[in-house]
Amino acid sequence: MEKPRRGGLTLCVMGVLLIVLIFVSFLLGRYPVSPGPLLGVCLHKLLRGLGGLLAPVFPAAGSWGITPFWDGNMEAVAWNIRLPRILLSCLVGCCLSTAGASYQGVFQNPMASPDLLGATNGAAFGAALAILLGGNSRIITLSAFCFSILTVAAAFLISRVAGGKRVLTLVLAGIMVGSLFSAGTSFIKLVADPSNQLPEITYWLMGSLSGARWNEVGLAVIPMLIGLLPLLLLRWRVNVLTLGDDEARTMGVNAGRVRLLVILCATLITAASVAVSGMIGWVGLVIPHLSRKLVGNDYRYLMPASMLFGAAFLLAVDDVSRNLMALEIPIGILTAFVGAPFFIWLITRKGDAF
Amino acid sequence: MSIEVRDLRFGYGPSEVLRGVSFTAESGELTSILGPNGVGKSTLFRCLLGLLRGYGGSITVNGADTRRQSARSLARQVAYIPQSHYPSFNYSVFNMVLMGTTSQVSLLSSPGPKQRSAAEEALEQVGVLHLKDKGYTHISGGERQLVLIARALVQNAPVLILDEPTANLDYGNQVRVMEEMRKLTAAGYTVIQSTHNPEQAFLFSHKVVAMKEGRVLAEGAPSQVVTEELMASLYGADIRVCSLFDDRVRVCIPRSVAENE
Repeated sequence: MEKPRRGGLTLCVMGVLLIVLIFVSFLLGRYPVSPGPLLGVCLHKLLRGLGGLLAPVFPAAGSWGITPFWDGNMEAVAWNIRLPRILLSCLVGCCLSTAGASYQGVFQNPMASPDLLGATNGAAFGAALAILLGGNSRIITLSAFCFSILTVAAAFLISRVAGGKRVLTLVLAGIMVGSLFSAGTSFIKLVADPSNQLPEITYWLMGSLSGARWNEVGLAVIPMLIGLLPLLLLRWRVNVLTLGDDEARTMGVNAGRVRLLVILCATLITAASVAVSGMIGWVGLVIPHLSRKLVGNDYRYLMPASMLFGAAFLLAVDDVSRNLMALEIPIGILTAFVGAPFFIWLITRKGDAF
Repeated sequence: MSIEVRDLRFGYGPSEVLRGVSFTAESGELTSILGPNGVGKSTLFRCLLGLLRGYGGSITVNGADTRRQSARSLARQVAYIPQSHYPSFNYSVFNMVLMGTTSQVSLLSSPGPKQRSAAEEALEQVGVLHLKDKGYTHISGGERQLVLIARALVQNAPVLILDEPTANLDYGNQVRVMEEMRKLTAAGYTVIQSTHNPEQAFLFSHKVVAMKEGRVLAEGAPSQVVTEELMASLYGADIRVCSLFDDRVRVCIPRSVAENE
């Protein structure tokens, strides 16, 4: 804190690292993909896309593209399997980490994480219920998303009825509703068919991006962008809100309304993430803190830093989860393995105060 | 610019905390609110700042009622300087001051170059520009109080409200903060502070409002309010008030000590 921070520079470095990581992630995996042909495919797709857009004006643009000098299987692997998965892990990491940073700010609490108001417990219940009732993967995703939103909405309504210190009752209501839904999930596990449904539920709860295809990306990307953009724009107000409601109000910030808006957006992106990936813990707590160490607490830099860092972190962990062993390791287990010790290291470092 | 409080009433549930408080504070004057603990000073301030809205009576700034104003428009008229505190997250001194400009920037944007230079000027004005890049929680209590004053200045509000600004400060810092407030008063701000120190109220303010049991016991020039009778009745203690240096200073001494010899 003593020296002026070059937040802008740090963000640029993070951005470049993320791009490099994305490129490297294409190359990792059982099916070999080499850099030259990969660049060719990327360029080809880019030209085709651009040509498609320009075709109405310049008919010649419709035939833009590079004559393939690569294997068709490799193109399918890179384009239909690796790219959606890379995109999805970046999006989910970005959203969970941004939601965590946002919750920490508006609850003035460094220990807040995206599941504070029960969003992940609700999603788990929704997914388990859909699996129990025999829904397909799209139904499971939708059900998880809806129940996640429903949980937070219930917590919010309860806190309105309860009155008192609004922030405190909201957090308490979130914990209560969340534990109610996790009890529901346990019950579903009890009655689920142990030969096929139970393993499916258990696997879903561990969190995984292995099912990532263009479908999932298309489904998740809309609510994610709707939630991320306002959070990015509201980041100065979040700074002021960290000082407490009263002080924020005397500086002209309608604390209640800004908090509501931030919670809405953060819940939306958390729900969308959990719905497509299952329970992935720790990202929303560890990455915002690591970002604080890098760029400070100023949300003008912290918010974009959390976004970039979250995306890079989850992408890296996902690369490990699909390459470390022959059998894919659920990413939720890995984030906990990496996250918990890392967090302990973070909080025990000398001279760092929250 | 003046702030006028008329028959202000407020209660938490059935118990009334403010029972008809009326006073005015003029621009270019430092008004001190004196009173024992639990007398409703904080509640009064929360009403003045628009943090409590369900009060009876009225508060007007320059003739305009503040009750129906949005947080943002009220922030442009009344600025609050809390006691120096520790926020949950550490910010640089400069960013702390920059937050005072929030009412001037739209909901979805951040302060720009104009606000940044205003923040530098305010830090310069209270004499702590050299702390600009330090962490707010890494500086001393007195420095934090000055930073909070700078933050209120960039808010561009003509009325400044300070909640016991010298509490928890050592004597040197108390003097520095009071001198700063005196300069601001001379510059035309309407300054209202609460204090537990009648001697300081006498020394620095233009007007003293003594509150007891949710009412105004006395309002007027310091020489009229900081008197033996009033202080004894205000604090329920036997106090002697001695006048020194041609009544430029008054000292309060418990009678038991004063008449021991």
